[in-house]
Amino acid sequence: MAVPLGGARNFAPPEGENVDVHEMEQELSVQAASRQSQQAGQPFSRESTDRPRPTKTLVRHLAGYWQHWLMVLPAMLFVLLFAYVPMYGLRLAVFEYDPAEGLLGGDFVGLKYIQMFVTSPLFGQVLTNTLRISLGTLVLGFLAPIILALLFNQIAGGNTKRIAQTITYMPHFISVVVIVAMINIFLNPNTGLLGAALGSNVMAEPELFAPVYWLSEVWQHAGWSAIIYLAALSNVDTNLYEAAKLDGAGRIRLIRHIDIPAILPICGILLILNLGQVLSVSFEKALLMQNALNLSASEVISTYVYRVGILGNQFSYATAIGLFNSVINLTLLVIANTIAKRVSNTSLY
Amino acid sequence: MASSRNTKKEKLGDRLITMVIAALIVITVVVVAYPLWFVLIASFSDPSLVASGQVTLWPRGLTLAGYELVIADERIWQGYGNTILYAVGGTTLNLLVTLPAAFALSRRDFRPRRTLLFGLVFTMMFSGGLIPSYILFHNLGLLNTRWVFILPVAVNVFNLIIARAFFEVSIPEELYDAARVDGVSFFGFFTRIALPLSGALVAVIGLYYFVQHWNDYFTGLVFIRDQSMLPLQNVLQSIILANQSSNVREVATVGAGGTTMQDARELADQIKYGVIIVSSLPLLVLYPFVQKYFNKGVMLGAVKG
Amino acid sequence: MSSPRPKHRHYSRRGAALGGVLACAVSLTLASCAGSDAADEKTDASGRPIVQVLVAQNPDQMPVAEMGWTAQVEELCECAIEWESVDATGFGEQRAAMLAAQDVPDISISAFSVEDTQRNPYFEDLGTHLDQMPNLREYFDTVPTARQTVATTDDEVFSVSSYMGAGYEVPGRYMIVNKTWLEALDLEPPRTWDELHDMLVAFKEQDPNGNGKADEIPLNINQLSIDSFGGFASPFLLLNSAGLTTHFATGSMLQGIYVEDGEVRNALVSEEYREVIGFLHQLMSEGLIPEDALTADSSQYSARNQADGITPTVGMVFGWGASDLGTEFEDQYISIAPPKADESMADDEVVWDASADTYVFTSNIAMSSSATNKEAAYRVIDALFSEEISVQQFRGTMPSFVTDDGDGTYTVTDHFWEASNDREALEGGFAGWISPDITLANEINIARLQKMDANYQDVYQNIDWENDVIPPWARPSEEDTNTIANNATNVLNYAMQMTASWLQDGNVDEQWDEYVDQVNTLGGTQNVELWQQIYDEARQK
Repeated sequence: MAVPLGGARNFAPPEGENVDVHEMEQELSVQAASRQSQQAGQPFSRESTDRPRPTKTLVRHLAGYWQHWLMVLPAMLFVLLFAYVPMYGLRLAVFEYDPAEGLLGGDFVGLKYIQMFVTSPLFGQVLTNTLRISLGTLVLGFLAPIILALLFNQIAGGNTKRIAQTITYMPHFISVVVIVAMINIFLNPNTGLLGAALGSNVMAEPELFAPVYWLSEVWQHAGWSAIIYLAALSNVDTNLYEAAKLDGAGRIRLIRHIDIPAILPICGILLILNLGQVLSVSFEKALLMQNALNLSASEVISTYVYRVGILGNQFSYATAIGLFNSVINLTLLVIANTIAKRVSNTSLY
Repeated sequence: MASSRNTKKEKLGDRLITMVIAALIVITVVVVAYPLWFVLIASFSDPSLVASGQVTLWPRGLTLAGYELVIADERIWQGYGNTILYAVGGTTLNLLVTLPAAFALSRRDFRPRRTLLFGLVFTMMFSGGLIPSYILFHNLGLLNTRWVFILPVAVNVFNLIIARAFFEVSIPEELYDAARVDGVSFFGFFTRIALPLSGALVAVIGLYYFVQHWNDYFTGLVFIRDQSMLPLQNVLQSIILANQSSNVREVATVGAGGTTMQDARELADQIKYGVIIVSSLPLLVLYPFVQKYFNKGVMLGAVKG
Repeated sequence: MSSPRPKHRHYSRRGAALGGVLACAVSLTLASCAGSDAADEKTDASGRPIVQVLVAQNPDQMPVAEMGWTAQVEELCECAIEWESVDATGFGEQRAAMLAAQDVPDISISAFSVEDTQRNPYFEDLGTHLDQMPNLREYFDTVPTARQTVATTDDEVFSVSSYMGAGYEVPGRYMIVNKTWLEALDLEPPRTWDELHDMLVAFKEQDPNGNGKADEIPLNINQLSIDSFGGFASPFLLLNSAGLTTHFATGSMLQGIYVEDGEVRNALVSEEYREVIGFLHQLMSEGLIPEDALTADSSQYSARNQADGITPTVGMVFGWGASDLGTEFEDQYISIAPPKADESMADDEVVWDASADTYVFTSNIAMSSSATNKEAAYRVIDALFSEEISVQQFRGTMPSFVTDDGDGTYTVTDHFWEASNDREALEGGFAGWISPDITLANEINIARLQKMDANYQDVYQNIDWENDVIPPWARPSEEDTNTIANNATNVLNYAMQMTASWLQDGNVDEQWDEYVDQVNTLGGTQNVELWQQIYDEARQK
């Protein structure tokens, strides 16, 4: 689709391609130069115009995009100040924390603490538990809001839809302390609604810890997470539905061919983001749900760090474990993003 | 032209699907609703009965004591005021900073965006931790001031990325190209065309930020010493936790004569549920207003294919 | 229709200018940072030196600044005090941040532990300034262990623990039984585990609360703590029945470390522990302990204790006192002396928890070594440790909450016990001392504790304080503290899992040897060695 533009650009980029304006401009200036040299009757050689002129390109870029930069600047500054500046604390992962010298001092100890963590007798258990809990939460927590949003989108009536949505997102606001208290009450083998029905003490079984965690997470957050999908679905043109229905499409086909594509980009983004949180299981919930019987399944990295780091005041150890976490999370995120870029149009960056 | 036999089959199939969907929705809502109902009735019930599982469908041992306590405590109202201030002020700043950035980063022709986005995502993975932040706030003079609730969290990268994805999908390049012909600047395009078309997104991101502020418990816990600045969550949690902790403060509570450890714990249980109602009520009221912005098919007509 | 587009050059200049202004503004804000602290101000408007005092309080207490006695402190110190209250329960993270950022207030009360003040070099050594704090000196002279408990190996005093008075020199943990039930069933308090077992069976089967329902819970226990050994309402107090002297108020015991005849050992691998587990499993398998006791949270534990407030359902607990069962049932419960594990044991082998030496010491006060007005700060501390102010901190402003009857006697008024949120007292979180020479009348808490403690006087005679008790001032050195803590975490994690499964399913005898080996491998042996060194050093003091 060619749309006439003024100024530097003489053609519109094909839809969906990541077009580099600089390359376009460079190509244009090459063409202009070749025209010039043709007019002057001189042989044109590409090499003479291929030499990069960084300053000129930069100025050109800023000239064309200064508004973009200005819009991006406040956010970048905040992030720089409040997220990047404190990152020097990460040095404690390889430096020994000494109270007398504060965060900027200490002896270099290299991988001592990472090694301590990896060789600790609890490492295997803690890592496995964390992965099991978070992968399950990831999968279920990813699918449930989508299904919920697709279901709710089918509700025609405005009020019914609103009430149903409100009910499902309300649990999001309940604090984790109360959630765990309720879990304990409901699962109590004698007096709990679910516990009595199931007949056994669910909280006493290590194998059941992860499922209880997953299901309570989904229960609490699915409704809230569905909001973003519902917003995306609300952007879908109603004419599309009409047109499809005229062609004889039933509900399932409508969902499959209109709804799902509408939310697919958001799904992709959220999936990648969630993969970047794989080793982060919220410690508060795990800590509250832990007891001596299910400990073999309920001790996760964050509760372990809490015990040694906060209770034990071992800042270096805690930072090292945190760094270990972050590196793995980042790796997964990068892999996921790269795959997403190959496979689809949407990616995180 | 579908034969009448096919249409009938499809109609039947479709009706079945509709029933299944309806059933799923009803089940979901009931499953989610029951524990919420439980929270409500538990807040009006005798806490021992609640803990021993005797409260199932209706309140038992009806008591307003929990609510009386919560409402009578003037710190609650102070906390409410603070929370509203932080949430409203904070969200305003959040939107002002996040939306323009998200929009600029959603334009595919903006070359540095990949690097910038990676720089943003990186901060979601790596964090220097609590203490460097504490030191930074100390140096900036943010500690023990109200600004600490607003400035450090001006940008939530997660929200920014979602907004960016939204903008990328729903505001195509052609729209800008068309607007450019009319002499609209990029920023003008953003404010006068893109934003009005993104009502749903602004509503959702605004809601996300607002709720993040509303639920923020950690900031007040670590960076504030002056108790009069604390938001609601901290006030409520401190009331609950104070009476629940059985280890460290044993001695202090023991010295508390007439009330015993048991009484204190019972108090905490009593208000635990009421606290949720008190602290989430405004949010529940807020959502219907937000949902208003989820209009259908607003985008259409702006660009012809 | 469309205005001619301005030239690029014009825009870029404007843009650059805008950007430049923004950048300047931001960097100026950053540069101006270097803390303009209000704390640098030396004096207030009327010329009095300013001292900041941070107090970590229970949130149901009124803020300390509103308590009447604070005015008296200001008078005595001739300074202006800026009182700051923080929530004690949530203070943990902020505490860590404050220490790491070297941002400690002039004086802090109940904020930092003794270990914190010893490991972080920003605190004043109060031991060298006793001349300026005569009340503190008197405290150290009168209560011999006061200085010992907090001093470092070089006798530096970086923080001082408060002393609640002789009435609180009790372990604060007892075996508590329903007296009404005993009388209803015509039973004597048990003297051996067998008799204890029979008593519990009788509780279960003979409907002692007389309501026709089999709703009695013979023995109620709280779920096992994972962070530390023991903890609230822990049944492991039974170790004392088997002859092992516990010391649950101290850091060593919380890791399972104890000493016998001068030899440091790990309780988690002791024979006595094995006996206790076997016994508890027997009780559990017979339904004498609720089957979900190990998973029920503390709310459910308390709910059982208090029942409906009318008919008690719990026969026995391990706890602080009769009031653990709620004020409605308080009068029905008594403490019983620990029974012998085995009939064959000698009477003097049965001991009890030795925490009486530690329990009486409570919150700490510490002073920053970089306080602006040090002289004034010393005076503040001295004022806090004066008799009158200490009593008022503990039991409230005079005369409405406590009266001075002269001659070292003070009476706590009924108003104090009835008030709840408006008690003008820091109570257990105070910074001062109640001299053993002082008598506190109408002290309901002491009365409660004494009532419990009365039955234990005989058994206290059996405790060998010299050789079977690790002194509370035995603390790991800086190099060892992390090793010990990490070992303890690993050991406890494993031990508590095994213990819980044994309590529920038995098999302790079959799995015992393997368990002991594993505990030792996880760091149990190393910790015992390290603690032996610590103990030997502490004994030298």
